[in-house]
Amino acid sequence: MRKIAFFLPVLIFSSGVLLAQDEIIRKRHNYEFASDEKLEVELDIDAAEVKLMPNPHESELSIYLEFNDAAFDYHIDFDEYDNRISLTFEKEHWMKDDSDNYKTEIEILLPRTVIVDLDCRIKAGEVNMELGDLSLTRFALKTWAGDVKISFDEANRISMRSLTLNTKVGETRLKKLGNARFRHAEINNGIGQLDVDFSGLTEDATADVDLDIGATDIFIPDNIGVKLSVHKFLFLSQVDIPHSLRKKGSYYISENYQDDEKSVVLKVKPGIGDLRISYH
Amino acid sequence: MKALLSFSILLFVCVFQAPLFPQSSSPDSTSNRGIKTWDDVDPSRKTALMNHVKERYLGKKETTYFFEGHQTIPSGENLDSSLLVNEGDLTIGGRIDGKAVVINGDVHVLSSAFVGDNIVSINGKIYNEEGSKIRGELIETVIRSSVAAQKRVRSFRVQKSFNTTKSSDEGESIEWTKNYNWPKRERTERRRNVYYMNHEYENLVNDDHVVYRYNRVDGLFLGAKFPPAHRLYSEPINLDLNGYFGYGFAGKEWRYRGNLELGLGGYGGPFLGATLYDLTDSQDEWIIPTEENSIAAALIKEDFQDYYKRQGFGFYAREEIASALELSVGYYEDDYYSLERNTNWSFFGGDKHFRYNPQIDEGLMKTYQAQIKLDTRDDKESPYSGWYLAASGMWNKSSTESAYDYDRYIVDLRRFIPLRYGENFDIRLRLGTGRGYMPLQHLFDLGGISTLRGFNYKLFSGDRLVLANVEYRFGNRSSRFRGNGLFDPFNFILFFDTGRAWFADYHDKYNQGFKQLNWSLMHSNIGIALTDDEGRIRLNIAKSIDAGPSDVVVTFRINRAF
Repeated sequence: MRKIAFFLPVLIFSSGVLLAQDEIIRKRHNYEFASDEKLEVELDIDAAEVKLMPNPHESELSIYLEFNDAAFDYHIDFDEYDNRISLTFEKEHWMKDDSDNYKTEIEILLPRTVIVDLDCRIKAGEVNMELGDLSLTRFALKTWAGDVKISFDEANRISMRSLTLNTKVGETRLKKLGNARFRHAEINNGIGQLDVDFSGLTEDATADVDLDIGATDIFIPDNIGVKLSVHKFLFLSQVDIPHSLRKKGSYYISENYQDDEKSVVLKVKPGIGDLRISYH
Repeated sequence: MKALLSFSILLFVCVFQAPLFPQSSSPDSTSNRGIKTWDDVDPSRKTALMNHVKERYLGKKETTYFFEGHQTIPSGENLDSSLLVNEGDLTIGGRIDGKAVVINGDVHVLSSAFVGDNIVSINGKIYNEEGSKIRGELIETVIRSSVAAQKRVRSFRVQKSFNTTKSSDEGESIEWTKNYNWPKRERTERRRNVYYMNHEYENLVNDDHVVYRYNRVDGLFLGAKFPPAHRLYSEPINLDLNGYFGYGFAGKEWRYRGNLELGLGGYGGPFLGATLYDLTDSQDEWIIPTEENSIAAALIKEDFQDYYKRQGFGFYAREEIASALELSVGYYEDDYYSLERNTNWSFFGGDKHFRYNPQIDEGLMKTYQAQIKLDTRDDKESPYSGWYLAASGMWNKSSTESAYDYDRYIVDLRRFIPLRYGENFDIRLRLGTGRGYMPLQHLFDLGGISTLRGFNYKLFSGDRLVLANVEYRFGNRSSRFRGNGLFDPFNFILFFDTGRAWFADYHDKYNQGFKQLNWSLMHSNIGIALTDDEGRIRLNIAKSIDAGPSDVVVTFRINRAF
């Protein structure tokens, strides 16, 4: 009898949980293009684990979504005339957290031969992007909360017009960013550790790195001339610059820097926290 | 006799009740019943698209049944291998121990269905009923370069016109689809002008569900907003109620706007609407956005907008003809009232006082309005390239109830020209004219921020307006200046403003009264601004170049002049 008395509430509770389970949606959307077409991709995501990587099918964009139907909704607009795809992934009730029981995942496989203008806005969630070997003409990412990892293990196939990364709260790690082949990069991190690895830089480029609160680690490869300026935030920025960059006026310049040769002009604004720059 | 009866039953079942697929059928047995496998299909009938889809989604070697046209696998029926359907919808109620792939058709998965692998729709949709069991993924694919997409559009149009009583397989499938009313997730593009236009209400800072502002007549104004529902834009015909209401704590008055809108034709419109409102209105939003004005009012006791109360109703129609082109027309009956300055509070500003809110010409106005907008800018707030053209007109005729008899026209043309990376040349031309006696609240003001930046705020006024602003933006992004120690930390704007506001003769038509316009009478200034990379946050230093002494005017802005 005591066993029944113990198990009955458990049974009732668990049946309630089972009944309350919502439908899990797993859906993939593929878009096949011709090589060298231009494509605008806009991602507007409220909350999810977001992964971006190159697609083995080189001219195909693939969007995979896995989520609890009761907690999220999404829509994808494909404008065939302007070649624009926008994904909007919305959390239905911000106040009612009914998605904790199930992972919410968005995986996007980007075409490698299609020229892509990529614009991402992600409010919350971990972001993991491997963007090497793509044809990105522009890349913009804005996140509000969550860790961000972006790497370019292989070089971008074309020169990137601009690269804009704006992360508000969370750790941001950017690996082999030079492989993006950007002409201008804007990197802005609000609160949290920021690691920027500029490995792969081979072309003329400018970059602004701006951090409000947290430590900043920047790695600059020594295969290209560097002109660096650091704008400290009063006495609250602790700056560590290698001796191989010599001071000239308000700049730090590498030995192989020539005004008329390929070079990188880097402007760093550390906020409150340490700035460590490595150059080798 | 018993054998005859058995034979009759068997014949009946075979002829009338035979399921499409036998229980646990094998490829051999299906071919005996006329069901083809992919390998049986004549190679000349296999299009490039079919071959591509077979290879991409089914694999070269996999055994695959092949069908043309609409197909249904009813509940209780089994298929032991994958399935490829060309040019038709597929309805699955039974079991498929493999993949289900449809070219140019939708897939409807019933709650009783079991599919052992992926379900793929090429150029179609997948509608999945709750309770179905799918071991693989649901994959919707668009093959953009294929002719199939065009065929799909044609096919869809044909299907819509089918008579539901048609006895063919196609007709039945459509009837079935209608009955079940699938919860389609189709949405249309959101980031376009009409959508945004309707989310933002006049002279307010618009958040998702909250509107607010701070000014000298309302004080702090807080309200709730009910934006248009998505369905207004995503469904062909829809009725929607949207708007806002709120309270001004210093003015101690409620304000509201309610729009009842009928959407015809889904996204882009046309939209027909009726609106009822009681507003604290201003025509100075083009000079300074309400958000920036609220910050200036709350922090430094500077309120640049002038206000009046507008209460009334109207009817309108609007349409987005193309993604960059909008057209709207409407009829409005408005009662206008002057508003007093009701607060003098701000965080800073000391003993300074807010400007008096000017009196207006009060009374009833019956107005026809029209506006056309062309906007190809790459960004609404910080554009680098593109055109912006807004032309509007309002027509008032006097009647027994309204004494006002005047027209007003405004043309605003802007061009943003990127010269090279980090350098821009931007120009704006604004013209205003009218007919008849224009009331005070609809006169054109000129001078100060966003207009003639080397002159005092709203120094000039009239019923004719000409204004030209030219800006050249350059700085540390520009390859021309990059590496130059002087320019590296900054971005700059060199600007030139010229313009004039004046009164024409009362009897002049809208195209008259411009004889007084000549270069010697124009007011001009030059200036330089230090700015951020986007040219929005800026410190302007401007000086009049008119004859006679003048002061240097320094202003700080967080928005572009245009």
